[in-house]
Amino acid sequence: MSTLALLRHPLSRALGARVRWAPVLAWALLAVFVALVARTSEQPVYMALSRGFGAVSMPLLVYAMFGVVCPEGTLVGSARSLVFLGAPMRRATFVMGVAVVGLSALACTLLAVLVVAIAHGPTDPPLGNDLATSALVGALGGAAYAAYFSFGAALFGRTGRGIFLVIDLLLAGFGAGALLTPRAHVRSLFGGTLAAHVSPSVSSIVLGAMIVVFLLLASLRNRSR
Amino acid sequence: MIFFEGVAAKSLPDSATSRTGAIYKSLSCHLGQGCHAIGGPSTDPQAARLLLELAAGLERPSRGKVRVLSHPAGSAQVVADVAYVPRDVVLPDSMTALEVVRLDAAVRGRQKTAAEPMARLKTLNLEGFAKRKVHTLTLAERRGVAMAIAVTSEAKVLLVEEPFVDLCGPAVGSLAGAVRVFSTAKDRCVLVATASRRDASSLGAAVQGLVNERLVPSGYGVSGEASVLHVVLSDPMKLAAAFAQEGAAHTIFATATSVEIHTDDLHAAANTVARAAVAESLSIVSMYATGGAMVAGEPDRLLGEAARTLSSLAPPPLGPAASEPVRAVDASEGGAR
Repeated sequence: MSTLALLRHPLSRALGARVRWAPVLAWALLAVFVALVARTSEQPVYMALSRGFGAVSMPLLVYAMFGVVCPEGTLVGSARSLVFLGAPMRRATFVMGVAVVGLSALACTLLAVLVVAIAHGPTDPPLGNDLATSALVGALGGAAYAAYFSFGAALFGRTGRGIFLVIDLLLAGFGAGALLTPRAHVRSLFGGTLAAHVSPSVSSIVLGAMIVVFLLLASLRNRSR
Repeated sequence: MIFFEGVAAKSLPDSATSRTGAIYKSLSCHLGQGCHAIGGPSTDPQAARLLLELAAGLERPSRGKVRVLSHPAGSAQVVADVAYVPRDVVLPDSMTALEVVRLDAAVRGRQKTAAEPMARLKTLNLEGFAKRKVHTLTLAERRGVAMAIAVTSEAKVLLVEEPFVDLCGPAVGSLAGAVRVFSTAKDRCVLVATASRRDASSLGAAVQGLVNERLVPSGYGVSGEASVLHVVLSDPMKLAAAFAQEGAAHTIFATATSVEIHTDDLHAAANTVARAAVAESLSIVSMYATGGAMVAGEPDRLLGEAARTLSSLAPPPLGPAASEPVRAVDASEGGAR
């Protein structure tokens, strides 16, 4: 059985969804708006990325992206139609998770690049460096948030990603607790305050680990519907 | 083909679908080749549904084992050979019906062997839905497409909940024939959960009720009333395993000391017991038949024929319709030789 064949379902959903793209577009437009406003500040790229895109738009955009691919609210619920076609439950759940992570990473990469291109000013580092770095951080952060929300939905069902969004907001400012959610690491990689005194390079590794661990946990915990 | 061995499981009530829950504390039975219907007035529909979900691997037992085609239910080795159509079936909603049929073949790894997608839909007269996206189909139409995919999926086990409920018009007329064709193929097992005697009969199913976690003949169905062959012996699981290998359309209920074989063909069942007793050196304490629409003395006559294979299983003189335990035998002695 081809695992790639299973990807047809989430991808066709993403392509076919029209209304469900509206919140994704709204949060993207907010990031663009903040980038335009930030052009007047002393560090426009930093302001646009850390205050607008990283702090607000990225988590909410990924939250909405999860709804585009999994309108049922959980990976298991979305994978159920594949199970009726003979796919193993865990593999189907994992594929749905991979689709959410991949699409979120892609969307956040593109948006990060757009934000930098709009906000970039004469006082910022060379545009090429900023674009490359922000694209990488956007991809890492988007994917980490997607895996994080997937795990929340696996634990608490439809309300899970909402609960995890609140936890992300609350923990970001609290010492070691900031290590457990993506927010502080994304902020650190965009040039803001370090996450619990951890260096940005370690933060990028932690985000990578979050993608793998949260996605696997979300796929393994597949009994609740 | 489907084994439930000491299964404890429960399904929780679902407020979204107004479903009540169901609980099994110790379910043991075997469903062999052929078409079986679980249901009737004595059966809780949720318990029958839980049975299907356990066999499909969508629910897992908290204790005991569910094995399908000799593998744990829901495992990667077996899921492609199991087709399940519940009442609330969901299909990939952004794809057309034809794309879903193609996806089914790809997921089951049968792109080369499966029939043409359009021909598969045509099995239930649903070719008109081919180009429609699933989310534009009504529940009944969606169930029709799911049913067409299931009966043409080349799976070995077909699990269906209420086959004729919420089913679109074009599919209703041809579903019974398609399921019969499916179930009569070699090494196929169909398990249907239905409250309707008529629906079960139209599929040619041997109907059984699920009462106190035991599969008992409901006394209806095209194949007539089933008989129960009781075998008291020291190692019931060995005998149950022998029946599983036999692949005949029996339902086995094994306890610590005995095996009950619900069957429409008492003759074949008695012969299987005799063969298994010889092959496995089973120590059989007694064997007797009850129930069914058999004339007086028929069970004894059948057991007598079986005894030709295993001479120690000689039946007692002709008695009442439901015969008493015949005698203690030890296959490892006498008949085994």
